[in-house]
Amino acid sequence: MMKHQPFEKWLCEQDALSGTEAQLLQDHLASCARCATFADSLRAVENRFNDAATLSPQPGFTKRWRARLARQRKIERQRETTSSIATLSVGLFALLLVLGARLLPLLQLVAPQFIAWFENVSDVLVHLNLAREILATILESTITSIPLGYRIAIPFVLFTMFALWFTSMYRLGILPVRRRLQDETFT
Amino acid sequence: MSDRTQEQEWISLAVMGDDDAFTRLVEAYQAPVYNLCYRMLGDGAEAEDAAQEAFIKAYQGLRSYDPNRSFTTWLLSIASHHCIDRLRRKRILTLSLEDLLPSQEKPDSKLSPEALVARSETEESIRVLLHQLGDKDRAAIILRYWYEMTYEEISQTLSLSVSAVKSRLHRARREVAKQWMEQETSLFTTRGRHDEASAL
Repeated sequence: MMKHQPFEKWLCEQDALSGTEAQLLQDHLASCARCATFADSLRAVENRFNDAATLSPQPGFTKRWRARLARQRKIERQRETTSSIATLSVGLFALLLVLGARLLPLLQLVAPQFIAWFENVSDVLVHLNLAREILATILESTITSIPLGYRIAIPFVLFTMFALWFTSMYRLGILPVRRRLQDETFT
Repeated sequence: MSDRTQEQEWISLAVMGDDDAFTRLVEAYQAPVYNLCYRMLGDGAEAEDAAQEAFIKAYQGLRSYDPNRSFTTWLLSIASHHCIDRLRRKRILTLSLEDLLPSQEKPDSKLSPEALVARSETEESIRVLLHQLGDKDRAAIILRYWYEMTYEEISQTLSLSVSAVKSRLHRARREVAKQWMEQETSLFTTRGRHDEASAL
């Protein structure tokens, strides 16, 4: 049975052969059809590879690349913002936990006073609301019992009285004081 | 100004954040990077995507580039590693879009229809031959025959030892030669049958 090694190995490695090795290979290729076909096939494949063109992308590759880079940057910015918010949230939560644990005794001291103050405030608010409701009921019942002419006249009279009061106050109270001050400045 | 000096200037400007300078590098290297991705992946649309992604990776890692090293080797190293990762992920995913997406290759309008058919057949046979190989063996063959890289350059590009490169090239050559022999044999048999049928 004919041996095909090391001839096949030499063909595939393509390292420089010594004179004797080259001769041995030539002799073997002349007598072995399998290795000769193998050598021809390898040569044909190599020729095909060497002759193959360097393919280029479709026109506008650079433009598409720039658009992709812009998209990539946008995604990275969004990712950075999200991670910053997440980090801050975690930090804040941790801080609250630590502070909460530290401030708990203090909070326990202040809590009853705070609750009492809150109750007082809510009591005041309840009373104010009650007063508003009473006033609204009185006004509603009064307004419905007053005739239409009086309903128009009363605001008018009230406005006139307010205007008279304001004019009197201005003339008798504010104007004399102003004049006196001006006289003192000149003298 | 020589190409190398010009290239170094673009790289320096790009490192300082000049996008236009890096765009010039993309313009200059789009064909070699795309060709490598196409030969590795065997599909136009995927090659375009992989080439763009490789340039994005190069842009992001530009600060780690050593100016004493060849920029082409560095860039093709990123592209080949990206393609190998992509093929690995694709194998894990099992679902391949290769059969669903038509090839994006634009026919060369300068070629005659016969030449276009011949070129298409040649490209297909190359694709078939390359896809018989393992990812790293294929990358080694592409870098050797399309980029005429030395064993040392291939070893740098693929992060392999020189002996590993030699071993991979040896195995890849044996595989493609055997594949070629089988193709030729089947073609010969088919022709023989066809001739017999026409004689009858």
